[in-house]
Amino acid sequence: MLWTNGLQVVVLAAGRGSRMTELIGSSVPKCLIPFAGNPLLFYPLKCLATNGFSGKEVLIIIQERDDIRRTVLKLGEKLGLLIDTFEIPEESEDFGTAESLRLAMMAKKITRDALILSCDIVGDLPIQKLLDLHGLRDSSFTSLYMTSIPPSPTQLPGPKSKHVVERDIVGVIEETGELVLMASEADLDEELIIPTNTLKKFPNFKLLTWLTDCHVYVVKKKVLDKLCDKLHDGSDKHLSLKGEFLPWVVQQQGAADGGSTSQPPVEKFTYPSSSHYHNQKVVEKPEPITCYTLIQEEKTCVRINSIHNYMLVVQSLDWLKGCFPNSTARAKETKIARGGKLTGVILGDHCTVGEKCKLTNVISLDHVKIEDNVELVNVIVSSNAQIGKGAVLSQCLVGPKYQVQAGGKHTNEHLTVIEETFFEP
Amino acid sequence: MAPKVHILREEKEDIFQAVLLADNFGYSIFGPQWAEKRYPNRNIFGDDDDDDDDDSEYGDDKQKGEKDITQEEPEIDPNLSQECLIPLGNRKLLDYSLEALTVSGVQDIFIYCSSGVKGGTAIKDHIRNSKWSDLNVKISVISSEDCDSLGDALRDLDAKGMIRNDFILMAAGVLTNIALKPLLEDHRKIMKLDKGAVMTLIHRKMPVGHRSRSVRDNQSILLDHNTGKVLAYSNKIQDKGMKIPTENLKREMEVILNTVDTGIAVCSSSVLPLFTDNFDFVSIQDFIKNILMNEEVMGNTIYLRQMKTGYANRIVDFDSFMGVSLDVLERWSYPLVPDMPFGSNPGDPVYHMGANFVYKVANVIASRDAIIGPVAVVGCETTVGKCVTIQNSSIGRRCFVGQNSVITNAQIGDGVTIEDGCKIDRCVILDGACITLDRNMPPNSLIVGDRTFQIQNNPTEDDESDEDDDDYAANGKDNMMYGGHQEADFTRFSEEVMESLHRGFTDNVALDNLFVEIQGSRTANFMYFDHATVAVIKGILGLAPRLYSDFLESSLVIQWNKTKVIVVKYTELLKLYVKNLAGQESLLKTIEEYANDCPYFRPMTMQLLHYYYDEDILSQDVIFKWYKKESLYEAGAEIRNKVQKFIEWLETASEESEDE
Repeated sequence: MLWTNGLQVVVLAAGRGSRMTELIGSSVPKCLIPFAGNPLLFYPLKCLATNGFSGKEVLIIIQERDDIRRTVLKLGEKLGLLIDTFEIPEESEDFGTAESLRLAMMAKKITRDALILSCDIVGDLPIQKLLDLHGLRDSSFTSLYMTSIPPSPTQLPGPKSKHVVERDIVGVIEETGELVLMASEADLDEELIIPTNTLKKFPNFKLLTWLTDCHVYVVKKKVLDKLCDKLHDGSDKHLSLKGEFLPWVVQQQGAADGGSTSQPPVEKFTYPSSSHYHNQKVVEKPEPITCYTLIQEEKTCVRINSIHNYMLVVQSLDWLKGCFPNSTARAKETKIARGGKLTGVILGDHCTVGEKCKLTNVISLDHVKIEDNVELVNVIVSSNAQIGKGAVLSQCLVGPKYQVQAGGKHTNEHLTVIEETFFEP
Repeated sequence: MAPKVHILREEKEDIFQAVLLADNFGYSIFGPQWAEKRYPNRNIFGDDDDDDDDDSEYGDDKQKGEKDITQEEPEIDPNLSQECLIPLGNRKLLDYSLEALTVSGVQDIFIYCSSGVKGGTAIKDHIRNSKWSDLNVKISVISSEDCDSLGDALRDLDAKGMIRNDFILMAAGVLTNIALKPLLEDHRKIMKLDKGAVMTLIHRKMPVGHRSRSVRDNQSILLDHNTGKVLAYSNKIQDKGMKIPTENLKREMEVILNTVDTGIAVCSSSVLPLFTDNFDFVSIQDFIKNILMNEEVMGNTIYLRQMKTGYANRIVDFDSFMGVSLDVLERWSYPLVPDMPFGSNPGDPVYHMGANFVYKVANVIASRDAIIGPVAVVGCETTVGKCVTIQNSSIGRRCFVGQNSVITNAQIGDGVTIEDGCKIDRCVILDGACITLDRNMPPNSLIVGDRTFQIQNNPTEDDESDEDDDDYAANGKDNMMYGGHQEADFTRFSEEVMESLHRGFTDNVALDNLFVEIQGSRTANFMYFDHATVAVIKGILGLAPRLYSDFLESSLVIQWNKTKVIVVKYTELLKLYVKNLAGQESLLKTIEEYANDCPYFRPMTMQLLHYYYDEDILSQDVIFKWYKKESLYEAGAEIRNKVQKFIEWLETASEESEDE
């Protein structure tokens, strides 16, 4: 029986894909990038549905846009989930995950212990196991780590750059599953600092750098409350859930112990002098924070947070089919004319490929039009893009709605319509 | 001639060798005053301890005691100066270490004794009078008069050329029942995979606060979990926590704070030459620190083996001495227990263990109402009087304990007389001492003959640690490297570094060779690594004016171009010296100092900082920190003014990156 008592499911899907703007532009939100016949958000929702949450309520935090809301609600209907949305105004700046969550809490949308998922995780998530561990250990915060599928062998299109794998760092006691430390290499400047309190509390633990944080967290309401408390105590607001708030929570394990023992006992029956007053106010001892993590080395996942990883998941269709049987689909209404030579080509829906095209290692999103005699090597074509007759492209990324002129020749470039991206290329 | 030939052949057959240190150099079980006595010329614990002499002595008749401590210095009881000969469970400490070595099949044991011929003789006598001389093991005692550190001892051994193989290095006061041969074999396996592996440290898992764990033992270690390679090793927990540079992050690592150094290290044969090459390796800690720091350059690595079973511990202070003695009596260290006949004289009676860990020999004369145990050892021909209580203690041979005495937590040697009504707790009493009527011994006492000494705990590492990397840069001009007698040496050394850099530039010498050359002159001039860093930076900056005679007259652009060529050429060399935050701070400080001394350079400071920032030698935070800190130099404000643009640029850059 699944332990779902009083548990609320929250899916974070308001991200705008700031690390893959060249690919998706601003018209498609990150949570709806399509691949293998489904939008990205489908995959975590499917995991919820197959892990016993079908028929249960799921809160999805999205950008405030009618088309997004409609698609999301439709997805929920299809998967048998009761979708509720919390919407972040579109014109507001790109909020961090912690900030969106905080807004949802202040709007009283989150009232219980929560299972928080990010929309960009694709893989067969062992949610049931995670919840079992959380319940068994009476954990304050439980996270999930899995193995990432190996990086793509093909080179990333666009200007030559080395693909840097940003590693997640996790400190764990393997015997008990206690979570000692969490950090991500991208957030560190030059060095990882393990605080003294943590070292004293956990004198022996493993530090692993090869696992992927799945962004699936079970968090007690009491811990989530601290997200709002932090607003008042003058310290910096935590913007990111994974980068700032949760690592801070994990660190509190050591700090809480040190704090409670160093507090001098208050003598009874003494007239409270001003210096004692503060101590007496603290009557109840705060419940200690304990963090655990579930490590599933044998299971694989991938987070779609960069163009590289998007490419990777599209190329790993067999793996995807294994994780989500009967859910993937072939490209619909895509027409390929005769006389072409296509190897390693994965096309989206509603695409057309003209005559005598030579395509090698090409990935395209939906509504892509490739005209006759086009030659593409290692190219990603985003949605609604058009490639003119006889164009020759190699190692390029063609952005949304971009039109490659007939006969154009490009190598190692990002071809994007400037308005479509937030940042300058 | 025949035996010699035999020995030679044996060496080819790979003899299992071990070095056993007879004392702990800087530390004494009985507190710092003993270590100081042992090495009167060396102030091991800094100045703070000098005035402690007054209370380093304790006794009922204070006057007499005070005299003792001052007059006694030249003549130390040879038994005491050799801590390996103090009693523990009616054996000498040395016996336990020797048993561990011989049982493991060590064929060639070198006992290194630093307290001179006198101490060496005491050890030799002990070995001659016990079964050790009958075993088929070669035990050599090496005595030295002028050796006051582990580094000196190993350098001496290297000079003597007696150790040819990989060997076990065992510190004083080690007790273990772990087989050492497999450890040596494991180390050799590691050496096959990693040619640079020089040492495997053996640690035993033991939680903080364990009774036989010394409070001094506070290593924090970072291991590569898959290979056991040591990535970082510190002797204490740093206040700011453990820092790991991101480029050093390995796939699987292990953070370890709950082990103790067992004092056992498996060493490659290259360890001794390494000590000889580096005169500044004093302790094993220096060795570890330097090997880790120069891993990229020298290619040497250290491994660590974490034992989770078996007994292994090392006595480093009185607390761990008390803890270990209980471990032995309570049989945690089996078979190193009182009733096993190791190390004893052939004719000695054997101890029998009764209930509650009471070990007695048949001919003990004990009164019926004496309470012996739980946990007690009583040696042969010892008489125990009426209503005596003996607990958690061992009493040697031919002792006399008078009526109503209470003995707890004590280790008592042979031939000791304790008269009626004495109270003894947490004491060590050496052979032949006498405790007079109704004495109430203060706890933590050491009794030699009729004198009593208070045992002090050794100071903790904090006082002498040089790990704290911030101290160096923060002290400014008062820093040790500029002060005192070293100034002249440093000037000479700087000049040599400059020569090397000069030649390296004109003849285009490979940077690796240059590094080795500078290391060589560093060693020859008795300079620390930090000195070399400063000298190299100054050399790089000062080379341009030295190379071009018209340098100072030329325009700023030409000056900078010429300087930059040199700076660029030596970027990789500098990276070998500037590896951590302390190095960066030192770099900034030296640049500032150079700019202060040479006004021509001031306008170029900004370009230089920018270059080093781009090369990732300087980090943004360190630059900000330096910029905000008040300058120690006259021209400090001017220099900061000159680099202001760069700082502003950095600030906007960092804000932008935060916005993203």
